[in-house]
Formats: sequence, structure tokens, C-alpha cells
Amino acid sequence: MIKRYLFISILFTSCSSLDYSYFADIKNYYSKNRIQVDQSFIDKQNYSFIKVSNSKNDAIFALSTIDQSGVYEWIGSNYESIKTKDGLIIETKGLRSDIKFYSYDISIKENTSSFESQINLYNPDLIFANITLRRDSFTSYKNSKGSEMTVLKYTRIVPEIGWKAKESYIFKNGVIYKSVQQINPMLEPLELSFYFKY
Amino acid sequence: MLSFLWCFKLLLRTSLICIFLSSYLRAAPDDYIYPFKEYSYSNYGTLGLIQNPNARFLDEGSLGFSWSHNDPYLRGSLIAYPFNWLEVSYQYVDINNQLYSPYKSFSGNQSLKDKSFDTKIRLIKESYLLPQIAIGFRDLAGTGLFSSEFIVASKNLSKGLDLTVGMGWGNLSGQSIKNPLLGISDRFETRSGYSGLGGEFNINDYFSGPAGYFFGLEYYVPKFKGMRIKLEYDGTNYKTESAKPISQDSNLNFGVVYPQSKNLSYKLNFTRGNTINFGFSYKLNLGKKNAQTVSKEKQRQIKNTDIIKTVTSRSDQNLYKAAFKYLSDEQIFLQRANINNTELEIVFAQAKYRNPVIASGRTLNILDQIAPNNITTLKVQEINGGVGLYSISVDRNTFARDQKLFLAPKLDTDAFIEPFNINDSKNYKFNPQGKYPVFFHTIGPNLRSQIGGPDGFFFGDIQLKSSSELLIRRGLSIISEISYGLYDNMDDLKLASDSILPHVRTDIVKYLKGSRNLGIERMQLNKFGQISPSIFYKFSAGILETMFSGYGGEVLFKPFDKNYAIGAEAWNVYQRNYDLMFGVLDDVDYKTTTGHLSLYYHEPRTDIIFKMKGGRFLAQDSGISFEFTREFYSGFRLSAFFTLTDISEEEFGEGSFDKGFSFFIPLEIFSQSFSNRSFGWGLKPITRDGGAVLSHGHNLWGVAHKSHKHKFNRHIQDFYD
Repeated sequence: MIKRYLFISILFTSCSSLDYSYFADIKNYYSKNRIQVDQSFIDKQNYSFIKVSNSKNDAIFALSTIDQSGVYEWIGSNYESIKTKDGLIIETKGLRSDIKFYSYDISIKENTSSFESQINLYNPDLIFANITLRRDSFTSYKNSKGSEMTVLKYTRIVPEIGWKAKESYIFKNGVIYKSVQQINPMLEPLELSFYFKY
Repeated sequence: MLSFLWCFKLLLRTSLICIFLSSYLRAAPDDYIYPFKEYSYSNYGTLGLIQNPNARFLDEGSLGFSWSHNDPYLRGSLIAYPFNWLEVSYQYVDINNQLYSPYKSFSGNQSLKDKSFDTKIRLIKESYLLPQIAIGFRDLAGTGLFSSEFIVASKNLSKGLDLTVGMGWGNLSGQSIKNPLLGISDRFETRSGYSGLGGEFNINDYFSGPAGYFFGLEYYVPKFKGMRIKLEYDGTNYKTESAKPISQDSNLNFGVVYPQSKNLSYKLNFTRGNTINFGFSYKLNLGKKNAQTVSKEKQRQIKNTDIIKTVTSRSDQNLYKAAFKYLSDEQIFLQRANINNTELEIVFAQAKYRNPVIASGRTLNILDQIAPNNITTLKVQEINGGVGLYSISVDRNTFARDQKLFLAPKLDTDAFIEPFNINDSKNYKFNPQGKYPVFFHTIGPNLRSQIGGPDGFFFGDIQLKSSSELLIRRGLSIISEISYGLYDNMDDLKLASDSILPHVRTDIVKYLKGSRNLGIERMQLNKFGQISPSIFYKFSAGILETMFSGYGGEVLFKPFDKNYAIGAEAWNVYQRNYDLMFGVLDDVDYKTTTGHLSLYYHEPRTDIIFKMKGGRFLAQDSGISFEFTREFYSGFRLSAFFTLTDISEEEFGEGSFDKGFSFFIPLEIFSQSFSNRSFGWGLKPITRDGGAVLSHGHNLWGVAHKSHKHKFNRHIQDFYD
């Protein structure tokens, strides 16, 4: 009987080892790539730029063009492109999943309640879906340095695919300062910090 | 009449176009409406409903882990998909209503543990009319505690509804109906059942005994982040499944699966009408290119190349030195270089890129940027540890043109791939003398574990481990692994070997306990070399592995442009002392000569590598070992092996013969950087002494197979990555 259980015990037994180098690779995989933007970093930049962050990484996009309708195009290090208008991302190219608003004639600043448009989503592709940006709140205050701060909170709704996402836009003296928005339900929200150099 | 026909045709065409477009347009929203639509795992650790299996599979190259608690079972499973039509899984089960053994002195109060191996094979792929049909086996070669066979069909009824119907035998014979296979043969009448010790394929029991049926639905809730609801009629026979009967109040099980992400899912079920069951699973596809990352680091663009080219055009030495410098910046180390009229040839070594196509492409990219315009042909050759791997030459204009357009070069037209051209280093005009000896060293924590034994489920230790390589000169090196124990819980680990063969592997517990403090796991002197472009050799001596010291060597015949290789190796080895220091066992004094002839074949269409190794094993048994490996595009590998030797089943012990599986994951899959590092893990269901092979470091097949003609054929589109 003892022998039988000895057999079973060997049957169950396995041995393995895991060395430090794997921990280092796992750490790299899960580590966060953060960029500290301070005054010296800003001074070193030749152009206006945005810092785009998700839960894991920060990336810097430099200003490429500004068109007559107030659309800013920002270019990343691998030639990814983000177009914004008043902080709202209206088109991206080269991200893992992208978005494109059909009309650039929209403004989250000027609309007082909510507005509708049409979008394309890419990877996976969704063509010509209706989107509603519903304003949830509007707050305005002066910060300790006397700047006029405006916080707009929106809910993004695409009924066709049941997508709802909360987003916010912060303006400083009427100029976009920061925004948090989700451009595609397959991606986590992006935080955009704007640094203008005039 | 004509106009009626014309209108009818127009209507028909328009309708067809509309139908085509509507299906196209619907396909995309469905990806958002039903995200994370890959199938989920049953409680048995294979794809299925709640308890029942289904006929679904994940993409080939996927690897999953599933954990579930369904009282009295707690089950952890590792699931792999070598092909789109094959699912294999290995699981540990904790059975909390039974003791490991009736002997407290042997296993204390530990609950019973079982491990099992399951597989499922697709017979018919789903089509518009036909369901997908699969055949499966649970607990294929274990104790038989959960053994069952099934044939199952799954059909997608609509976008969010999947129906499964099946018939099972063994533990899937819940309804105990008459076995329909009795019409074929009487052998299907009785089933011997639980075999107790396990380890063997009990083929006579397959599809025998009473049968049962099962069915169920999986419904994907639209616009609910991939959540799905499962409902099933349970086919499990709870009267026979465990040594103790399990109460069942209802045949209906229902539950919900919520995907946190594409990879991670949680589940909550209500089973048997009396049990809440929960669990999670994590799965990854590791087989595809860039399986877990969007992109890799880009090729380097050197600044001021016009100025550099002006300098390098002044003298050959300037070009050699520039190549040396700019390649070193990319961790590509120039070993020799030559300029022959308009051809620049270099020999390089590197340890950064796993894929030789990317390594050679990046080397050529650097050379193209710095070489003066009179150089029209670039030729690069890679060596690894004194072994020449391949040679590739390109016309520079063609290379630059294809690179701009991201066009993969045509082999033997745009890029000439050949075996390494052995040339005396004295024939190279630039032959930098490396500063030998060179020492590479890493140190860090190491975790060892011993799980599933009768003394306790988990024993392990944390060590500080030093891994180093001392390059004495080109082709001559010493590799070493030394560990120092920091903490362990192995006091109660006492399982002794019962093997009647020499204890070449089953004394693992003595080695684990003996090396709790300082231990030398390897200290091996290697001399690599090459007789011809196709013949490689290696001599090694020292501490070759954890349990054996000795000396020996191997020779490999591996033609660069062929898919086969033939190897031979012979070793004279001595069993090491349990303290893992320099000594050998005094009381046992075990020494032996082991050696094998090996045949390797890489099947290029399926990328299955077949390895056959025949000869004398460590325990002085003779026989043949067979290994099958599927190598995916990313470098991820899944392997299974078995060994048949001339010892009897009694001599071998339980299991009759040695068998196991392993996987190998290149870590660059998870990184945006390239890396040659990898993680490998293997498991044998039963650790026995028969069929054991010496595990010496840096075997020649591993070195030479890294780069061969088929690899360039398969990966040539990565040339400009």
C-alpha cells in the first residue's frame, strides 16, 4: 500500500525554477514609461506639444499644423497623428485603434448642451456611426494664480454599439489645458496635456 | 417582356449587392457589440460550457491558464493549441473531500491531488450548414479518476448564440444510456474505470461502458463588454466521478462569464442545483508576429551620413572603424572585415536578435548608411560562439530601393543566402583582436519549486543565483550557474525514491535539500568549432548539469539549405554529490557512458520539427526518444516527447515509459525591444529514471538550427523590420 502511494506521490511531483532575469523581463513588460514634463523639458522643445498618457505609457506629440478651422495636428515619434479641436480628438492615425469625426465643424466649447456627429472607428472598423456628446456639467473658477479655469464634463454615446464613456476637458484662460477622453471602446482612456509655445 | 426581364435582373443584382454590403457593414459593428468573443473555459480546463465540453478551439499558438473552484474540486489547468484543430491541456486537481493517503505519517492531512491530461481534436470545421464537430478525451493517461471521452458538435445559431450537443462516455455518462457502440463490438460493454496509479493509456476503456448525452447554450449579451450567459444540461456522472459520490440536485447548470479584457475572464456559475462555482482564466496568443505588442523598435537612422561617407571613402581603415563603431552601437559586434574591390564583407556576432533575418537586415542597413558610394555589394556573415551560421550578400542599390518600399527581397535574386563561408581570419584585412578573456555575468533571485508531493503541495526556496560566461578566446568558454539559498520551506520534504534503476533522476529531493545553501548547478568548459560549413563540433567538460559531471562532445551535420540534420554525442559522466559542490557520490559511485545518434527534420509547411534520438541513456538503458515540436512564427514553441527503452515496465515503474511536454516563449513577444531571451518550461507527468538524458548546456542543434535557409524563406518579409 505504501508503495502505491509512493508511486502516486512521484506521479504528482514536478520541479521547476524561475530565475531573476525573467523577473526583470516581467518587470519591463509591466513597468510604466512615464515622461516628466517640467520647465526645462518645455524649454527644450522647439514647438508646441502634447503629452498623451494611458495607464502605462506617456508619449510626446509635436505640433505639425494648424488649419483655418482651428484643428491642430500633432505628430508622434513613429509618425502617429492626432488631430484635435478645442482638445477634442477628432481624428487619429497610426494608433492601435483609430477614430475619425466626419465633420470638423464641431466645438465642445461652443455647444451648450450636447451635439451630434458621425464617426468612423478603425480596427475594428465601424463606418458612419452616430455619436452624441452630451454635456454633463460646466464649472468655472479661478485658481490660486488667478487663471480662469473651466471644466467641461461630457458623456460620449454611440448607441449602435452600446458605447458610453465619460470624458472631461479643462480650459485655462479659454485655451485647452488638459482633456481625458476615450477614442475607441477597444482602447483605454487617453489623457492629453497641452503645452503651447507662442 | 424584355423590360420586365431587365427590371428583374436589375432587382436581383441590386439585392445581391445589398445583401453583400449589409453583411459587410454588419461584421464591423459586431466586433464592438460582441467584443472579446473568443470562447471560454469549462470547469475542466478546456474550452466548453460550465461542466460540458464544446467543439470550439482557440487560434493555433494560443496558451491559456484556467483556475476554477467547484466544490469539492479546485482545478488549475494549462491549455495549449499547437494547431487550430488540436487542444491539449494539463491540470492539477485538489479534491478536498478525500485525503492524499490514509497514512498521516506519509501525507499528513493533505487532501487528495490528481493530475490529468486532456485533449480535443476537431473532426469537422463549422460551415454555413454543418456544425463544428470534435472528439475529446479527458484524463487520457492519468489515474482515470476523471477519464471520459466525448463527441461534441457546436453550431453558431446567430451572432450571439452558440449551441452545443454531445455524447459522452466514462464520467460524461450522466444519463447512463446504452452505449450505441455496442452495435459495433462487445468490447464497448464494460469499463474498468479508476486505475488507481495512472500514467498509462488505458485504450481498452475508451468509449466503453454506459454513455450519456449533454447539451447547452452560450449566449453573448450584446453591448455588454463581451459578457456571456451559459446554460447547460450537465452530462457528468457524479456517482462515478470521484471515489466519494457527489450530491446533485439538478441536471441544469447556469452561469455567467465576464471578460475583463481580451485575455482575462472571470466566471460565476451555479452547478448541480446546490453549488456556487467560480474561477478565472487567462489566455494569450503567442504564435503570431508581434502577438502581444503593436510594433518593435525601429531601425536606426544614423545622423550626418554624408559626412561619414566622405570620411569612410578616404581609406578602408576608416570604413572598418566606422562599421565597428556604428554596429557596436546596435549591439552587433564586428569580428572581421574585408574590402574586395567594390564589395564590403563583414563577419559579426550578436546576441540581441533571435531572428537572423532581422539581425542581418539591420547590419546591412547600418553598412548601407556609412559605406562610401564606390561600395556596390554588401556581404555579411554571422557567427555564434565560434560557429559560422550563414552568409548573405545584397546589391546595394537593390537593397536601398527595396528598403524604401518595404519590399521583401527575392531570395537568390535580390539577396543571396548561402552557408557560412569559412575563411581563415588572417585573410581578412581588418581583424580586431578582442580583449580576452571577456566575462558576462548576471546575478539575481531564483525561485525553485516542488509541487504536488505527498509531504505537502508546495515546497520551494528562494536563492540568489549567479549566471556567468567567461569567453577565454573565440570558441572557448566556461559557463557557470551558482546559487545561494536565502529561504526555503523544505524541512518536511522527505519523499524517497523507490526506483530499482540507478537513481539518475528520482533523487531530486536529495538534490533540492542538499543544495539549500551554496550550490554549483553548472560549471562547463566548452570548445566550439566547425570542420566545414555543414559540420559543427563541441567538446565540453566539467559540471554539466545539476546531477552529473563529466566530459564528452557532440558532432552535428547540418547542411544550411536542407531541412534535416544528423548528430552524434558521447559523454562519460559521474553522478554528483547531493550538496552540488565539486564532489561525486562516494557511497553510490555511479558513473556511466551515455551517447546518442540523433536525426532532426524540420517540416517546412507545418513547421513541425521532428527529433529522434537513439542510444544509451543515463540509467544505462538503451532505446529511442521521439520529440515533436511546433515552431510558430514568433518563435514560440510547443513540444511533446516520449522515450521507449529496453527496460521492463516493472523496472521503469509507474507510467511504463518516459514522456512529457514543454513550451518555449521568446520574451521579445512582450516587449517593443528585440531580445534573444526566452522562457522555457517543461513537465513530465512522472519523474522516473528510465529514458533520462544528460542536460548539458549549449547543445549544437540549438546553436546551428537558429539560422538555416528555411528560416530566411519563412521570415524574409522581416528583412527591413
